Amino acid sequence: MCFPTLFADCPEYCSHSYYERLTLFSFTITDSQVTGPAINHFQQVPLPFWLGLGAVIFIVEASRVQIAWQSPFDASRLGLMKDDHTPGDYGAFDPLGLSKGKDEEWLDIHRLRELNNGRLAMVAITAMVAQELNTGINLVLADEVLGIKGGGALKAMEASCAGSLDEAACSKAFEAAVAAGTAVL
Amino acid sequence: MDAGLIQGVAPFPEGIDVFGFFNDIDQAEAQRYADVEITHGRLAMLASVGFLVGESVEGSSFLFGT
Repeated sequence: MCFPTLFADCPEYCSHSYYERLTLFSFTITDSQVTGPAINHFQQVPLPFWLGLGAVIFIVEASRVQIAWQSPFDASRLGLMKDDHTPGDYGAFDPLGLSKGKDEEWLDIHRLRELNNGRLAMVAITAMVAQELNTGINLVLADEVLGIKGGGALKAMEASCAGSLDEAACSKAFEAAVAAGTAVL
Repeated sequence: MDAGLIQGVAPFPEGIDVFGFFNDIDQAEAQRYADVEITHGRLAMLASVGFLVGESVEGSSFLFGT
């Protein structure tokens, strides 16, 4: 659906009903295209989202500090957590009820699984960001090309797209060419 | 130290601490490190999913309405 033509037919679209302002707001959000490698997505999102995100982060971090940290005015030095605080235990945050009615042994096993999954994910996100910084090409797109033609196609895509003005568009076009079987490999 | 890194490495009774982060720190500092580790791990789990989802839906006409 094309929002600009929807509004162009309607000269009254700046009148001040709440619903129309809401529509206009969602129009600002939806009209902006977010493209390219995921490392560049964040900068492309419009300002209202940033403000909302900042507010959410403030609330979450403030309540985290309330739960886990000693007051800096009472503690002997800065950065002390409460003595009875178990690392990672922020109240009973369990919206899906996954730990409901489970015994202590089950909980211990799953705490360890969470920790190990988290460690793996820290390595994974580092590698994903590094790959996109290095190639400048979408991670998912690169995998699709790899799936179609194997490593040769991916290398050819990097060779023809690296350094071009719009690497994302170039790699997208290359992927389409590979899918259609017309790519020069 | 009885928190996080040292206790959470299953096959190694002494844990793995190649860079010596846990040398010469007190219990409160080790507790903070363990909390930092689990928090970063949770964030990274969300981030690696969000990374893939973000790229998969980009240009989607359902979400971005063009």
